[in-house]
Amino acid sequence: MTSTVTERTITTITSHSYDALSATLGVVLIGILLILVLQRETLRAMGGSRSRDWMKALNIPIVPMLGAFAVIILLRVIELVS
Amino acid sequence: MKIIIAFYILAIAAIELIGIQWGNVVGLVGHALLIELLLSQYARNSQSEYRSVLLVLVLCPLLRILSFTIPFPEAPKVYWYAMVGLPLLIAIRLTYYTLQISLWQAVRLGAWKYQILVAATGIPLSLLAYSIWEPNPLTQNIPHRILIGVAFLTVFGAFTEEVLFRGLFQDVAAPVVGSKMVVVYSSVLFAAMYLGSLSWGYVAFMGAVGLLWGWCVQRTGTIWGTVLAHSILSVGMLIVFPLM
Repeated sequence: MTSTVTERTITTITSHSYDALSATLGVVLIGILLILVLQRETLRAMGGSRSRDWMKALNIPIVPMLGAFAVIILLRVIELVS
Repeated sequence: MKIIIAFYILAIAAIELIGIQWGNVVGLVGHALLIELLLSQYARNSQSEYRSVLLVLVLCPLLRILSFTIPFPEAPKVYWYAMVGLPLLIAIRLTYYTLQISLWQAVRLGAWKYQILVAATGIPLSLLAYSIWEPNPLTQNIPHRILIGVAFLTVFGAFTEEVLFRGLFQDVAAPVVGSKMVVVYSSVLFAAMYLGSLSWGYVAFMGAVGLLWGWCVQRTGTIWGTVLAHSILSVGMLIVFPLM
């Protein structure tokens, strides 16, 4: 076990169906991502050096969360198609 | 500044415990709030050394959010490490870029004799970790699965964690908290991220391992020895000993 995949991660993922996981934790992730992207766009509209700094920093959580978002959407689409 | 950084590390640990006690949704919301707090403090603060530490700390709650939202039950467990580790590595690379620090500073080659000695610490530590936790094998006894397991644990477990805790964090926090205390700070942060193991003994063990490896990185100036040691620890504990 590492800090990336802990015992709690294993217990959570294996004890729930993907439906249940994407409807709870997946929705939380999408909510967080939405807030961060909205914040980034607001900062872009505001302009200024501090806003630019903040925007750059916001990319750090946004980019990997977009990857997580893509996985969630892809799996839901596969589920729907099959 | 030292106290504020200690406060944020304790906040990460507290949110991990809150997640264990009150459920993952509460934990994830807590981590998201902490990311917001850290980023807003980063943007408002003008002291460059201190604000760099805040940005690096963002990676810890982010790691926890990714570890609960990307893996899915149908994928073999061994792939989960890559699913979480790859986006985290991207976030780490973005942090290096934003802070305008060179990644090569932490992963430069050199001092090979010392690095091999540091790497060798992984063997007894692996045995100790296995005796404390006794996990089920990560993969079945099939050669190609074992190879994939070793590769993923090394790149997405050992390398990613060492770059984050020993490479990046120690690098940016040392000028703020001091070169001796930074090892303590990084090991507490490292142990906090292991609270999800649900074993106090294992958390204490990883805290002690963090102290040892943090000190090694500080003395040698590169993380390669600890990456190898961490890889040996993980592979031994999760693949070799459980399959024996």
